Amino acid sequence: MTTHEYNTVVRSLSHRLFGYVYKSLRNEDDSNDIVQDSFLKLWQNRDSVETDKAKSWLFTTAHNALINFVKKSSRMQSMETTPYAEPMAESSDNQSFELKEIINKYINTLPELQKSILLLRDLEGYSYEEIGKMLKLNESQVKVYLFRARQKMKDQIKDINNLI
Amino acid sequence: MNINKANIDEVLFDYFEGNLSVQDKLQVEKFMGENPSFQQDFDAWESSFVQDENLQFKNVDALLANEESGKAPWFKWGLSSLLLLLLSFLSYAVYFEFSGKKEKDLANNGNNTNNNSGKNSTNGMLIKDDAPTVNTIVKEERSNTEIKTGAKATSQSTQQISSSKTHRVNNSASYTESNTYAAKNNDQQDATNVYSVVEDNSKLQEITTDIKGWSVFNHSIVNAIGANFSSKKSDEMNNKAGALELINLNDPFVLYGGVAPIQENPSFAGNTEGVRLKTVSRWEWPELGSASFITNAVSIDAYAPQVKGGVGIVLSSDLMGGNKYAANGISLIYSPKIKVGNISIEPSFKYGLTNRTINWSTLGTGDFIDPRTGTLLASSAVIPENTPSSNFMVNSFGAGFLINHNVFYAGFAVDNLFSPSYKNELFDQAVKIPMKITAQLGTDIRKNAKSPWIYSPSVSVRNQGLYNKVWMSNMVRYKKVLVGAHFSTSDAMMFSAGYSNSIFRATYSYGLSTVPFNTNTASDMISSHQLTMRYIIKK
Repeated sequence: MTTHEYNTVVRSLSHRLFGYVYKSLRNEDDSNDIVQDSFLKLWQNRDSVETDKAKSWLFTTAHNALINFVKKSSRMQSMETTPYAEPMAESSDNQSFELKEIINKYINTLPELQKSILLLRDLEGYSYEEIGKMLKLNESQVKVYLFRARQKMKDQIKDINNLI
Repeated sequence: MNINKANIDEVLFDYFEGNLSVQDKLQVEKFMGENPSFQQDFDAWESSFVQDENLQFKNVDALLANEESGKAPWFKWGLSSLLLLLLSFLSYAVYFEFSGKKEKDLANNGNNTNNNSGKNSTNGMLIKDDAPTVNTIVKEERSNTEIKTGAKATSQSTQQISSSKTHRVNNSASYTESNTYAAKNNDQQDATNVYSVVEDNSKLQEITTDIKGWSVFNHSIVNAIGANFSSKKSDEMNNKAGALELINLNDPFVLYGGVAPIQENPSFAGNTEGVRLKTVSRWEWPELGSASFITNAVSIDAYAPQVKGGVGIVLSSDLMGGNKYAANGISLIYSPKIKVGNISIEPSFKYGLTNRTINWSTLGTGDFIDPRTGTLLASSAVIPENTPSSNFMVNSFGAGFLINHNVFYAGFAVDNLFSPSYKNELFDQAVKIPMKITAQLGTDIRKNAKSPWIYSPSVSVRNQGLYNKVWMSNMVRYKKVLVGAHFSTSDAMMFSAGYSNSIFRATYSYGLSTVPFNTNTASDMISSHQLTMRYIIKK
């Protein structure tokens, strides 16, 4: 990957990668750090990463960074007894939330793997096969995890709708 | 497909995922119409998709690599420093090798001149007797003072000569005081004066020796035109056919590395993202008034995927010594880019067409002194009859080579390949233009991709005719502010400051040179001003 190609990737993918990470974390500073670290790794590995593979490489790298970050955050949470994500009960009490906000909240209740698959599918439009390659799963596993994630989301939304 | 309460979730998942055939989708929609109790599930499944909010990442600029110099952030400080150090030593070695050779040649030429003078002593040339004295003085001067500065050196050597030979005091003094290298009133010289001038040839040699290497010879073509028009006038000095020779041509050249990359090395063409428009305006030695040097150049270059390389065009205008000599030209450049691993190998080819103009009526005696030997090649400005100026169109070819690595760039370029010559109906002798050889090495040093500080050291080496110079350039960029300091191996330095973003850059540079000759200026230093602007049109 040349310098020019690297810059092209930065311009075309940095916003999308940020959107993916931010949807997972809901924290701008942490999301910025993960995006910057992902691109720094891309630059350091530009000789071995082909340009047409840069997108999946970046999202895989960001996914791994997310997993590590959440693990680290979980340890911090247990020490500080402060949950990273807000409990759903709190958010569901507020019926004025728009559906989009509710979904964003619900995303954080999902296991990391299901969350990543959901975001890669919905935000980036990756196929089951592509997601499988990125996360080292087979297509069936991807579909199962995605179904479970959507089913949880659907159940939460249905509950909210019933409350409303 | 069978749809029921037990599998409705799987069916709706596949429906919204797009996994169903058209018939199956129609069947689902029919089922939903017949079973409104599942509508709530249908709506909830539909809403379970995450919506794209078009979130914007705010720090894109911090992630971008520096493309202009073909490099980017990196961490191998040690390697770059070593490379620069090596090149510095090489450059200096080359420079002093040239200088040493020139001095040797000069000494030889001096002897030859004296020998010739001896042969021609019957013509009244008195050089023969002076030869030992002159040579002695030359030796002493060199041993006592390696390099002297400008007018002081000239004056000092002249004084020594004068004191040793009284009968030359007047001549020497008159040469110096009347500004040897911009002498006027040439038309008043008669035959006797011619011989007087030739008589002083040894002193001129001495003076030239002392100031050799200074900008007066390096910069000014008009101070270095050895004109000897055998077809128009016999050669009084050597009694042989001469040649109109541009002894020390100095093509327009930016004063330090990196200012106008594709003029330094055409291989830089196409190394930016988008179309690069660049202008350089330089005003040298304004203290000389109408005799100053003014250079303007505009270049456009871009990468063209159709030809897998960079293409560029350069327009330049150079007025030397108040339009005594002018060169206006256009150059076309093509530089294919060949990627081998993480290195980009970039050869380049250049064709130039230049209109060179000599304004004979403004030339003075000093313009006809051969800086290599101090020989006055024409007793006066031999102005071609009825020719106030002469225009020549010159075709020239150039080539360059650049290795562009993520860590550094290194290259060289040759201009005026084959030393192009041109003829004019007024002269039967060809005019040759010296080949120009340049070499560049540079890098960007940055702690990491996020660091706002970028240090860009570079070394630029140049040789053309008698002109040898090495520029060490140091540019520091902090966010959008640029400052730089640049030093040459002999007599000049420049300081620059500017503004730069990914599209526009403007840099002003102020230069100082040691006064190379008697300019009647109060200061020991004379200045130069340079303004460069760059604009990139993104694709």
